Amino acid sequence: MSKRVRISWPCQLILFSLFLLVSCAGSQEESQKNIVIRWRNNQAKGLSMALDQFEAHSKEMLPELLKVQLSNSKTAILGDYSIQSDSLIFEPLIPFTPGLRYEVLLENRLMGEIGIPQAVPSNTLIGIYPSQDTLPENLLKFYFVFSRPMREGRSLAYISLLDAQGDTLPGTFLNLQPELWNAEKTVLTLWLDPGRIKRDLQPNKSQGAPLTKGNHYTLVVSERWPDELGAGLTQSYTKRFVAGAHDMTSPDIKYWTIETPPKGTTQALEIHVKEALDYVLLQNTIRIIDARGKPVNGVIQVNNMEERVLFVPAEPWMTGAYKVLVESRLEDLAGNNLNRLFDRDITDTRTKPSQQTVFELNCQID
Amino acid sequence: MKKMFLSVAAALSVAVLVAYTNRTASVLSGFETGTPEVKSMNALAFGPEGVLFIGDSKSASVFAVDTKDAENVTSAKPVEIKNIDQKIASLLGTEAKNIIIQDLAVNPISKKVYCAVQAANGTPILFKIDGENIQPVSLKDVKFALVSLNNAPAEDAKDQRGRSLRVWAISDLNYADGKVMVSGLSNQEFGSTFRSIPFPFTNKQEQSSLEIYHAAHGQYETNSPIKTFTTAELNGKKFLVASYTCTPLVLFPIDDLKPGTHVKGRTVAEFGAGNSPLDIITMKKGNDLFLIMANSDRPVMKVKYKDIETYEGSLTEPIKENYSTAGVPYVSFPMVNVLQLDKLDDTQFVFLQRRANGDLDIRTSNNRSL
Repeated sequence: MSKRVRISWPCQLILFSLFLLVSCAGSQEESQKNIVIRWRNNQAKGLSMALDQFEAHSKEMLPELLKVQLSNSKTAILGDYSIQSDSLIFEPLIPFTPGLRYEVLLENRLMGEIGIPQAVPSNTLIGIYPSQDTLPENLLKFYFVFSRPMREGRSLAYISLLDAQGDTLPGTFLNLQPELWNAEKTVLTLWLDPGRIKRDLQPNKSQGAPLTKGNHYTLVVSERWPDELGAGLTQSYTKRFVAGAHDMTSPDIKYWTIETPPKGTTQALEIHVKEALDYVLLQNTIRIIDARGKPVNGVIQVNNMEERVLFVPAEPWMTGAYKVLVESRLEDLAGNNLNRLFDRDITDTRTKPSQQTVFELNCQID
Repeated sequence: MKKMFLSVAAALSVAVLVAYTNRTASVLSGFETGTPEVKSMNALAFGPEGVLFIGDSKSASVFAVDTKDAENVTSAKPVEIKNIDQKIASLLGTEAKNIIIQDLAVNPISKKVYCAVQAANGTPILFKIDGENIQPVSLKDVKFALVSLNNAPAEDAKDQRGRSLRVWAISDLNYADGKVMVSGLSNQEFGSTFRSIPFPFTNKQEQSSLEIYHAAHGQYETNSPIKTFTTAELNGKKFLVASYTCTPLVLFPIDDLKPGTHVKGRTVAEFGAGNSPLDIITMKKGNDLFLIMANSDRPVMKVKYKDIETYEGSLTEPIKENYSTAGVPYVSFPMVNVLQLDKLDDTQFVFLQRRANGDLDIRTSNNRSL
């Protein structure tokens, strides 16, 4: 009789495992039902817990009795509790981190556990500037333009410059903290070490310039570079280029040409700057005024490998004289601006910096 | 008797007037109460009356916040916190790799250590460290004042066309003699700008562009960005003591830093290539003042201000040997990978150090090391 009801030990083990699985799935479901992640801008900004599960406690006491912590830590996470309709809301000082698990404890008893899903990569590198594939050997900086905000602070871990043999060149870029991001965290400015570019400076003497004329290089951006949500990029990126001649000449607007559009249209006024100039500064240092000195509203576009600037007016062009004003801080790819060289020899009087802050070109629209 | 009464009354009136003047002269009198919109905390420094200055590159502003932490402590207990980054990360519900400690500053009155942290999504958080206790400092409903670092309104007007404003990344910030001094660099053009802002804040801002001659031949001129700086009095004159990304130590007389001027500094030391200065403070032992400098690739260095005072020249000769140093003498401490420094009290300084095993600790050094 007893033989009939006795279950063999392997079966017992299987049944026990099944029981464990069912109970775990149950508690998981329970915790997800009780604790809901509040998402804002794709970030887990808080937890929402139905108030009816705290009926035994006064609402006012809940912030004292509750504790949210990382699953592998006993430290209470800093944040604010509030009550919104029938829910208790916990908002940590910073969003919950994707990929980590968190526990909610009530009077030190586990109420539930919740995992924050990993962020899915969606950010792309839209462009690396300068865009040309021959760059001066005294190139000063690169710009990296992304589709979405990135994480700041550890960029150099994800950018490398390789020589023609595929070996990483150390010490190429200047490690600046804070890093030079725009306010939206979508454009990073990265300097090649200026101390290595400037003649006779110690880093230049000991390590040489970062680039050498005639050599081929590959700039590599890793797909592991996290954006502000913690997800990597959708892919890795490379830019191949060759180092060209040393640029020791300031840009000179007297060589620029302007193609004017017909009056009454909103076609672009085209400015040909005759050499590749700084992508970001081109967008920020040029403006147009009419004969009365009034600024013309419009949008600047930079194209043709940073050799052409298009100014598209908001209103149709009127007949008359216009001026293109250019701030002296506009730089070429080697950091030479309109009134001084990046690396000026003070014994050479021909390169004495000018004090002019704005340069101008005239044009006429008929 | 009447005369005596009058004298006493006059004395009392003066005392009341002085007390009233002192009260109204508080730097906090112009502060408003509210929640400052601090978008980033790149640099911290304390001013008078427990005021904390927060350099915010993202909103191109310097905030002055009343910490209400003004209880005087003469000598501080040493601060020793192991794995400070992990401890702060746990409080924030994340891992150490997802936060960056941006700056440390000691309140010179209470001797408490303040610490600016940036989370992965860019959120700035301020912490106060009191012994072993790490607690957040809320900026909700505080007394504060702010000054914008943006340039003239004409320049800001360019933004009307949807172009992003230039970001002015703050590399260092200090307070001395009624002025908040800020060094920074642009995310667009290459250069070095230094601003001196009277405090309490007014609309007046003095901006100077600082240039240095390299220590090589005296032939090439540069306006490289200042990485870190402090102020000091040398031979009775106030100086800005600045260190650049390629480590020369340069002196600028503060009186010469006038609005819109280009000021050329005097290079007094080269501390070697392949290294970047991270932080500078001034300490005193006996009658000697010392400059203490943390570096990216060299140990913490100590320079006697007396040696800087007596160093009359400017480095103009090239350094013959790679990675060698020149100019005023210095001593290297057996302290490497120190990222941040600040004076804790008259005899101690706190520092943030990445240890050989990878741990990030806050530690305290006493004046035996000086």
